[in-house]
Amino acid sequence: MLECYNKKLLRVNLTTRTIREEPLSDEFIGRWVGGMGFGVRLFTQEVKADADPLGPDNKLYIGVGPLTGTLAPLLAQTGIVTKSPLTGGILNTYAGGHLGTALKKTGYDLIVVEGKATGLVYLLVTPDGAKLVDCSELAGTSASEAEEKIKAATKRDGLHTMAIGLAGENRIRYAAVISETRAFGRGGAGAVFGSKNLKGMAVHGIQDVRVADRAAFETALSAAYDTLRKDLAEPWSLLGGFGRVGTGSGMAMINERHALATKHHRQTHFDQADAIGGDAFAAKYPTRPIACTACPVHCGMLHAPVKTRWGEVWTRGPEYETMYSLGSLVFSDDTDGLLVANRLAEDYGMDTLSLGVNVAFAMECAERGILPRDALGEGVRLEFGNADAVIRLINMIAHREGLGDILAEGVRRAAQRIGQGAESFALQVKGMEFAAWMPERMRGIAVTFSTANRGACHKRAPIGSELMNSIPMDSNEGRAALVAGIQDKVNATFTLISCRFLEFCLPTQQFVDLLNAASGLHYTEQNFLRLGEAIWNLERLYNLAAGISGAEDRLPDICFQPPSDLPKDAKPLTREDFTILLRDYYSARGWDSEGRPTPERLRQLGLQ
Amino acid sequence: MRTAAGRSEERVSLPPGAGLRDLLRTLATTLPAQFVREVVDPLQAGNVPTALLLVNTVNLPGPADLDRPLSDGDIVAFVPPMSGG
Repeated sequence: MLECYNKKLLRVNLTTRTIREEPLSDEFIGRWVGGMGFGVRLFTQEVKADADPLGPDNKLYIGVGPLTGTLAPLLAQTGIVTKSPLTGGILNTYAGGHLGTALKKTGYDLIVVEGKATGLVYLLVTPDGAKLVDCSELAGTSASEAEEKIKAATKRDGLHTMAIGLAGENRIRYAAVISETRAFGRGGAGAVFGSKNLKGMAVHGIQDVRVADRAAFETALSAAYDTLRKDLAEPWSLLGGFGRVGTGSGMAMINERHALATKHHRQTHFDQADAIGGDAFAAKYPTRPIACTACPVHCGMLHAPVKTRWGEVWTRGPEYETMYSLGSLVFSDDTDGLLVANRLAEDYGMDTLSLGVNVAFAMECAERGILPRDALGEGVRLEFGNADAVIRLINMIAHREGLGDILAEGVRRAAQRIGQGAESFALQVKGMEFAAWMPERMRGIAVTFSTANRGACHKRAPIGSELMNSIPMDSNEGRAALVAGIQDKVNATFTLISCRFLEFCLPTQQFVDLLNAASGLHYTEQNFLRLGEAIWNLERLYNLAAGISGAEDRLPDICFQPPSDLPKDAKPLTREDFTILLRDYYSARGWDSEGRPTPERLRQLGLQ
Repeated sequence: MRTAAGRSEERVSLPPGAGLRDLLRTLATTLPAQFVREVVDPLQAGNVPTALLLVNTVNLPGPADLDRPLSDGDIVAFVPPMSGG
């Protein structure tokens, strides 16, 4: 039973420099399954609701899932649960690559990091044991340079790493943790690393990963690969497009649907979108796809070094969401500029989504006369469409210089500081900046941005269905319940730390089949989804205790002002629509009218 | 799709009261053969579409809606029927 688990965690206290193993009970494992489930359950028990996200009382729960390290496809990611410096609420964030497999093979399902080191350190976990390594010489290095130096110093094949750059050290509230060009992007986990003087982590594992029922697992594995193969063979498979030119493959279609957030949501369509989409990057730069462990999709696009007017640059990506945030949202069609901005964000270790929204926010302020056009210093005007302004502002944010210091706090805090009505157009919910989608256009996005536990997050929404009109994007009918169901389903798959893309084609039952065969657990599809709902409610209870009430399930005023280029048949979101959607959402969740889980619902979910 | 059509935009004049079917008929005579064969013909025949039709980004009518009249200034888009997400 539970063969695919290591059944223990590693607890690292940076203050006392003590490292110890703790067992994970069979009961705990069976109830919370892994990944996000383990992280959220332990976090909500151990981190006080009033803890400072950037103080020593916050903790990091870095974990893998029951299927990590097996050949199960798109199940190689690593997850982090912590308190977000942007929202003050609970955060879960994920990165692909090869780190997860290495971590699983160290013999731990989870690493908990707490306290604060006196000087810069990284955590090294190998078959020889776990230790903290002082690394003051890595201060100020880029994430990738730090990772290279850690690998060089360790001299181990099979070592995989994660690290922060300058942004994390400077506690930029949306700093990311980078793992070998993949990013734990959203919510500011990099700033939490920085606040603890934790530069990174390196793991090398050699333990086998076992499964409970080998024959059943092979059957489930074959079925999963068959499903994926069939999907990838479809001429219009989104995943197939991702494999050809990356996650930006849908740019033209999204633009055609007038759903591309452009010029800080002033527009829904960007005439120059072709210059910043996936096809543009694949055509302009030497490109090859790269994959995470055991992934036949290979959506990562690696570009060889090219000369730009900002110097020679190589990068992986940008992802679709970055093409929006540092492309259409800032109204720039400068392909080289976007390439360089993406590279800088990775070097400094910053979430490109929040970063782009902050840059666009500054441009919007300048457009409205709230900030001066020369706020970036000499020679570069703060205005939409200026790639030089984007690049300079990214550097200023990472170094916390001038206006950059204000924007390093995120748009919610920046808007409060700048005043003059800026809060009405700051693109954020609960403190986290918007992902690439438009609540003005897509009702599913309006629901998920406003209700997601980590802020304006797009990871649990019916995006494809709305874009393809299998459900009309501007209808309120049944939309809130649909989103709640997706939130539960995605939360359930995040206990396995599935790549979000697997759920695009794999039926829930196939996730459950893989889990049961590997673990010996007896989940049904219904119980599995119920687990996702329980985790969603646990997060919600924590956020309520942290002072994030139902009043924060809202969208900024700008979302109720129709963009200038709406097609004539479009029905933009109104406040009346939003009231209906939120009421329906609370009802679908079994929460009261103020968005609090009812005792009865919590009992049904086994949370009381 | 743009490669097959040889363009990303086309302005078309139709008589008053004309619908999508009339538009497709017109495009069948003006657009390159590959686009007509792979996109326009299947739509006209009411076969499983190789493209979705959008009118003003909102409506994606099926074969039964091809006779719906178009208005002056309507924007009709051909979108690949992406699956997933």
